[in-house]
Amino acid sequence: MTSAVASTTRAASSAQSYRQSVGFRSAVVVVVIMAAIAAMICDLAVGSGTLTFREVLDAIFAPGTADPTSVVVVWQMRAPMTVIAAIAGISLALAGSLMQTVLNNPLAEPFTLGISSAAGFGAAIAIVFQTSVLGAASWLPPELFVAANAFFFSLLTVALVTILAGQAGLGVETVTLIGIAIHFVFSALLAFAQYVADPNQLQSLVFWLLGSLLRATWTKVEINGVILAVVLPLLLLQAWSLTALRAFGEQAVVLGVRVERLRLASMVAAALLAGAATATIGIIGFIGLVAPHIARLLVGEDQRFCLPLTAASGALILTLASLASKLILPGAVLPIGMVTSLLGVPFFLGQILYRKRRVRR
Amino acid sequence: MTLSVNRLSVRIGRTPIVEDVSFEAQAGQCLAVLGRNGAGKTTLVRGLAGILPASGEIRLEGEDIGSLPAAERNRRIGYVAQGFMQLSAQLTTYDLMLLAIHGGRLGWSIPDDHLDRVEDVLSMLGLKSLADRRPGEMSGGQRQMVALAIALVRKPRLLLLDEPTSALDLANQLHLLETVRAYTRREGIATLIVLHDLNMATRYTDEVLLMASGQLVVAGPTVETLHRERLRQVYGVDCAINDVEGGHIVIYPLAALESASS
Repeated sequence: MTSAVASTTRAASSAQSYRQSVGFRSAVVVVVIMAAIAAMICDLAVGSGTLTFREVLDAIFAPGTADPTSVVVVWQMRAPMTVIAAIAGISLALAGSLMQTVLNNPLAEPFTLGISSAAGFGAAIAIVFQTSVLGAASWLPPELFVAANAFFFSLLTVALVTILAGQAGLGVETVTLIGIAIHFVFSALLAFAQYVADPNQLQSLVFWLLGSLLRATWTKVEINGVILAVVLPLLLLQAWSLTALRAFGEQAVVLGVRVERLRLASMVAAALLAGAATATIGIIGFIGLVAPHIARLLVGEDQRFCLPLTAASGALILTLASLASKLILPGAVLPIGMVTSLLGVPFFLGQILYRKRRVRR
Repeated sequence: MTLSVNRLSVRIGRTPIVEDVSFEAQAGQCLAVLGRNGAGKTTLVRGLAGILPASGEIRLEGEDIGSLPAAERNRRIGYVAQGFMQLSAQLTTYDLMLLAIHGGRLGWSIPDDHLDRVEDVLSMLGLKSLADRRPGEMSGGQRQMVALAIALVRKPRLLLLDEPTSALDLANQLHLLETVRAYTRREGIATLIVLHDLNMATRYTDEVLLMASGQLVVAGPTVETLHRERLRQVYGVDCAINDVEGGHIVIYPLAALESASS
């Protein structure tokens, strides 16, 4: 009798501790989402024009009654940059998480398939040779002249990797090696474009490659937003399958996961997200590598929590980087790609060291 | 007949590894899959589990599961491979077991009875203390027990275990095989266990499938099938076989008659 009671108590405590952990993980996700939103508001408060924090808040939350100049400054000048920072942060983080899962490699990032160099080469063709796929899609606004080309080439790499690796069954090593090979091909072509560019073109190209939020417009925000709005729910629906793929690799098939199909779909999703973000604001490293790691350190690898937290961390990091890029040199805006790594690395190292110490205890 | 396998062939890539295997298992029976390295034991089990492409007929409780979609078929099968879990996975035993119930499904929610199922299996295998541990924080033996828990929590009708005792000490080998046998009998399922230890096979399994060069040499009751001449033929090893209490036998290897490569 006593042992039956003891066993019931233990049973209850195990399920209870699981429920507590679910509560904790949900709370962490909510806190980071709130932090990202707070960071976005702070980012809106800093930038071109001299507005008080109060005026910024009025312009955000009560644009009808706020001073029209503040509304224009906040909504037309600052908001596209802030919103694109959040969306690109989410997109790059999710793309990184997908690549790490699909390739079973913690060092994988959105650009492992060669997306960054391909997007760079696409931009180079537009900037140096004044040729863009936009010529074949004249209904698109001219502001997308460079971005459309970069996006097209980033998708092209994934198509190439998929077709080539598909011959060998989309194995992890094959995809990684073909991705690296394609990366080098486009890097070489990008170097060639830089070599033949005139000084003005070269300056534009280098500035593009450094990554900048100044290219943000509402049209680009909408395109990135639509891609994210389509891909994110699909990813969240596949949370169990993605967790199974991460935990069991090829053998996730035993749990009913269609591994090859999930891999292919994840690669396409990662390419769309990272390609669109890169085409819009240039090459931003680090986020796709680090945001998934931060999420994993905080809530583990259950993708029901890890994916939303990865997205929120990506938004938080890139928004904070945007804020810092405006604060470090007031009056100028530093290229965001530089700031992201400088700001993020100490935080990331701190996380790793804290976790190691906790495990040792 | 719970499991009926008819002319099963399994290939890796385009190379056929297991050819034309047929056997049957009654409800509540444990079958040992035995044979030398490279005999096709693991390939056979992977073919049954749907991991490798297979042709032929696999009927489980009257249903041709070979023709079912992967998700449907796998819901009926519990499979434990060596190195089943990725050590780097940041998931606890509890998470992994819930994942085993939900993997491949859409949606997020977890009904209460799924938590109960996890609790029951953890209690049955004595693994409650490992509920919050991750694969990297466990010993090889503990991981093998957890892998079994992951398979059982799916309530399989066919259990496939590939060398489930390879990392276990003697006491845990007995505990695991005893638990598997009791579970198989109680639930009336069929269980196939790939083993290298012939004495564990004679102690815990009802029938054996003896494999060589990708083909089934013989299938039959364990004690009767594992006689001296057959072991010489399949393993190339001369053995002494002694009867012990309870109708069991003990197999004592005397000498290898040929090298491993022959």
